[in-house]
Amino acid sequence: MIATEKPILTIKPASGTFSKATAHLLPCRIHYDGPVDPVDPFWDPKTNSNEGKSFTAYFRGRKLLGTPLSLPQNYRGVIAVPTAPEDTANSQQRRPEEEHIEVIDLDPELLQGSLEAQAEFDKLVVWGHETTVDGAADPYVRAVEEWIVLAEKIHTFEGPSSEENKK
Amino acid sequence: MARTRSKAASFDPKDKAKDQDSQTKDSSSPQTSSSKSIYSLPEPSDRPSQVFILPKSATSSARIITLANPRTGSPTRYLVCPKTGFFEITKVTPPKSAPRSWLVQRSAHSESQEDGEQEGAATTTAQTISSPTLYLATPFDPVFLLLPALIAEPESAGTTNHLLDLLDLHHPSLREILSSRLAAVCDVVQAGDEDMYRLSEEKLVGEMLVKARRMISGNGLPASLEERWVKKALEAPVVGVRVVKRGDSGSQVSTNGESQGTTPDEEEPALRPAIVASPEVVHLQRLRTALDFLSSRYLPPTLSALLKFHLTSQSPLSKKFNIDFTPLDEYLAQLTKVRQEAAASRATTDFSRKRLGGGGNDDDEEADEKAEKRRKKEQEERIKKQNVSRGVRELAKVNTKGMMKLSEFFKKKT
Repeated sequence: MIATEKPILTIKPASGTFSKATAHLLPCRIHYDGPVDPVDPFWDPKTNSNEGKSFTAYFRGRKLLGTPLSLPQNYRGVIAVPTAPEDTANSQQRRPEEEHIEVIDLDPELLQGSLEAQAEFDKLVVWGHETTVDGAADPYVRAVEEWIVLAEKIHTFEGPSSEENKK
Repeated sequence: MARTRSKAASFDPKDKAKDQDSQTKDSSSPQTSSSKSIYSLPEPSDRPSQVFILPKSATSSARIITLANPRTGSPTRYLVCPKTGFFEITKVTPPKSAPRSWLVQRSAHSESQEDGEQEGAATTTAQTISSPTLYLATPFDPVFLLLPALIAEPESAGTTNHLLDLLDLHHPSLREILSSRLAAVCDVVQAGDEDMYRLSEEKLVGEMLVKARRMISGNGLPASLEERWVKKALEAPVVGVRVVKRGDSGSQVSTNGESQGTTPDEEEPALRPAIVASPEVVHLQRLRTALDFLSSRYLPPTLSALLKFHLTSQSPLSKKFNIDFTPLDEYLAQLTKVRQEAAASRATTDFSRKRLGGGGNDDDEEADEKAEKRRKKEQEERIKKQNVSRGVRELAKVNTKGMMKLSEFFKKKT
């Protein structure tokens, strides 16, 4: 059951500092992994007038509204790339049947091979068609805004030195 | 995958929206001009990136390791940092009905990217990631990893030691965390120069209560949990309650034989929940929700049954921890009764309300009926509207009133 050995994820920047990024979660499936430069001509989100609470962008003629999610202070987003190709092939085969897992679930398999961080982001924008996403239902909004807070509450514990304030 | 890749590589001009913008941008294309499009995409990376959210406390020496899931025993990946401890990895995926993909946009100082060959222009670089999965690492209390080993059969109990040994090899600070967590739920006995641990039910219940209380402290449970498990669970059905107003409205009593005719008071039906949960009951429900969440997610089944038992009033431990769910149970019993009653009398309520509350006036009654019908119709329409998908709604016939007829455009110019 218990297997560790070689490092699976290293979150050290490959060279120097990370470039700051913004992660956009588009409401469509793009069957392409990789660079899409230059991006400016077809992706140009604009901040709406309501104090930056939402963005508007037009993507392939469709109006999208984005809700920005700021990560909590002590968290950061990381884009990482796997560096062991043979394992990636496995995870790609597995992906289709894993998709019917609906919301938030523990994942037993998908992370394979070692990963190397590529970029860091502290802002996430969740986009919806025509409307902003429903925060109470969207798994991403709930994960970032609710689960992190709850998980911290569940899992904080007194360290080895501070036994007495438990009583 | 293969199909779409080949499509992307063939640069079908219809398929790439950015071709439409090709006139506006002609400086930054490093590709050859033989392509139909001035933008061409490199071969898709066969090692797609993945998106993570990690705590900053997880240092760069953190590793992902596989450990047995405390609830199910199946292998699960955890992020372990030798300095700050364990992190649970949660996978976030959208439902299949809502396809998603990532577009990562970064400001270009492009020395660290293999794809950033553009000559330092003030543009942004971007990449897409077709898999919408997000991995979210949150702190994890290693006590949950230790519990299954503590209740395991003697012959298989080597797991804890194994875990400790394994981490001990490299990281004494992790061992310290683990043994302190062990001590939090165990009785410790000194045996020679070694510490022996045995699970203490009292300590375990206490520890879980501390966690549950912390979960509901501050802003309480997260909104979606609160809504579903506290508000909905305690919500009593709304019933019409007669508010009797004493007044000189006796003149309104009609002589119509149909009316009961003996009520000199005007009765106003008001809508109220049948029973309202007291703050204490709400608090207990929150606490129970938190405990259920903990035990259903992190505790082995035997331990969650144990915890459940110790929180009932039969257990001596419940008195010790001053925990008593009796008010909540009473309320819930009452609630089920009220709900059943409401369901059983729904049909008759409508009937009796009409008879008693209608004031006996024929016109009133008719108006009531009309209002009722209208309400029903509106409701049906609303449901219909909800069932129509966005696409169909948009395709519905446009109101062309006041627009110029299409044929106007094809007339001979005069």
